[in-house]
Amino acid sequence: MIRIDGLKKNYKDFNLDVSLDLKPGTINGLVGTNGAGKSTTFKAILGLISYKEGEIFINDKNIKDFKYEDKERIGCVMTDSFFSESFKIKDVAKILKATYKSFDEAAFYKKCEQYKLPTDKMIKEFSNGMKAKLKVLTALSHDTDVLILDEPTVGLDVVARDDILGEIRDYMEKDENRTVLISSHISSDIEKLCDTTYMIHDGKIVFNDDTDKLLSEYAALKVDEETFATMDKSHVKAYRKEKYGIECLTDARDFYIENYPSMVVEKMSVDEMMMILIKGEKL
Amino acid sequence: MKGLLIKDLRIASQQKVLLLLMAGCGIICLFTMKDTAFIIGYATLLCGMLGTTTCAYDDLNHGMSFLLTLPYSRKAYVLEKYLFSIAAGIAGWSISTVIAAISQIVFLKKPIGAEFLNGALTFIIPLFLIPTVMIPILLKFGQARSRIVMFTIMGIVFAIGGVLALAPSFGVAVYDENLTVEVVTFGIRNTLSYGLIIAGGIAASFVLFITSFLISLAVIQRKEY
Repeated sequence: MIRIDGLKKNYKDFNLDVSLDLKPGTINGLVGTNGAGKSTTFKAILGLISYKEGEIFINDKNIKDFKYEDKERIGCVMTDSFFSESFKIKDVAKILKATYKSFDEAAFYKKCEQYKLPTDKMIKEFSNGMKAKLKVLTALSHDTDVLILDEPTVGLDVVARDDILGEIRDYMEKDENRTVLISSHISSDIEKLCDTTYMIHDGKIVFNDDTDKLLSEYAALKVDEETFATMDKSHVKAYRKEKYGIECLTDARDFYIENYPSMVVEKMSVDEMMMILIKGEKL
Repeated sequence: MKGLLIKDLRIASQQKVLLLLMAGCGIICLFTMKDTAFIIGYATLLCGMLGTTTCAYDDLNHGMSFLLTLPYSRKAYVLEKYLFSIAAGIAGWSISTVIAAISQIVFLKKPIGAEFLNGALTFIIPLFLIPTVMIPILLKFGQARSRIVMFTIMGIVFAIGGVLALAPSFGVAVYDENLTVEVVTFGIRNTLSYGLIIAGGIAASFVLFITSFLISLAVIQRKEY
């Protein structure tokens, strides 16, 4: 379980103001443009930055009161940070073994073998895909309740991404009380993996809903200005002007199909929803 | 803290070729200069420096962010850095002292006396001073900027020294010209025993070392990664 209550972090040209409530047994996606506040939120949860307002709880314990045994229950992947690239996997395994009481050395090496990660080669000689897999395997190498994954699939091909998403699914299947928070620029990863999607923009959560609902009930309504002026807009979340007229984001796809049979109603990806929510206007 | 110590040992072991090369140079100097004190100072400083360079390795590729997500507190991280640096320095000092003692007895045919022991003990002071100076700078400024800071500090020290040295030639009496290092040293040696001076030096270094640890702790507690 991860709960963020009114977290505020102020920089010179950026202000973060976030609240989240991630239930046990869920995989939660955080999407947003570059500089939206995803990594700042992750860093706050991991205790890497200070904040004057708000509280963060993991498993009902304030992270400011965390001890060794609390931190041991968290696994994390950071986009651009890991052990020294001059280490080999066998060095990483030795450090992890001395660090985590629950480190499963045999399982870690088995996974490395499964993904053809050489244990006797420096990490700097790995491909991007191999580095990303090693980061995820490291996060999964000990017993945890919470996984914090900042862009674990960035820069990877579709096969490597699928491997990583598969590992996260396996992790969740082993214990229904685990919680995952993952950020990604690739909306299809979020759509395939996450139970809930949070959208962050300019340091604020602008939107969140069940991912299944997003994909089944949300849609784009493509209308001309005359229709837009007269239509029922109670289920329209946001809209923006396009060359052909107006594109609206709705959370009641069936309502418009039933009541406006001539209206163009199209399914949307999370990326497309994000574009309307960020670039469009809210009602 | 065991995981952090193993991490730093792995980093240090990656520099074994460099260490062996430096050790070879040290042994050559020992036999050519016939000065056992040199090898002790050389090895102690080298190993002490090796301990502190692990800070720079941690900082590479934003590594600190990940390291601080491991289940260690920031205090444990800083404490490990100081302990590792001291341990590396002590290892260098002990090994080099034994080598120096053996070579003094076997090759130089001189007995081990108070002069040898006092000389060896003198190098405990820089052993403490290296982490004392370097760790807070490395933690505060990071690997890249700390080099600039170190050069700046050295530049300031040399500039002050230069001003003091040149001032009399411009007719400025900054200090008493009769008060040379030899005079000061002789004055201290006359009033205090050599052992007491070394003990005082080590105690002062230790106090600075603890102060440095507290500064580093304050730096890392405030720093954002």
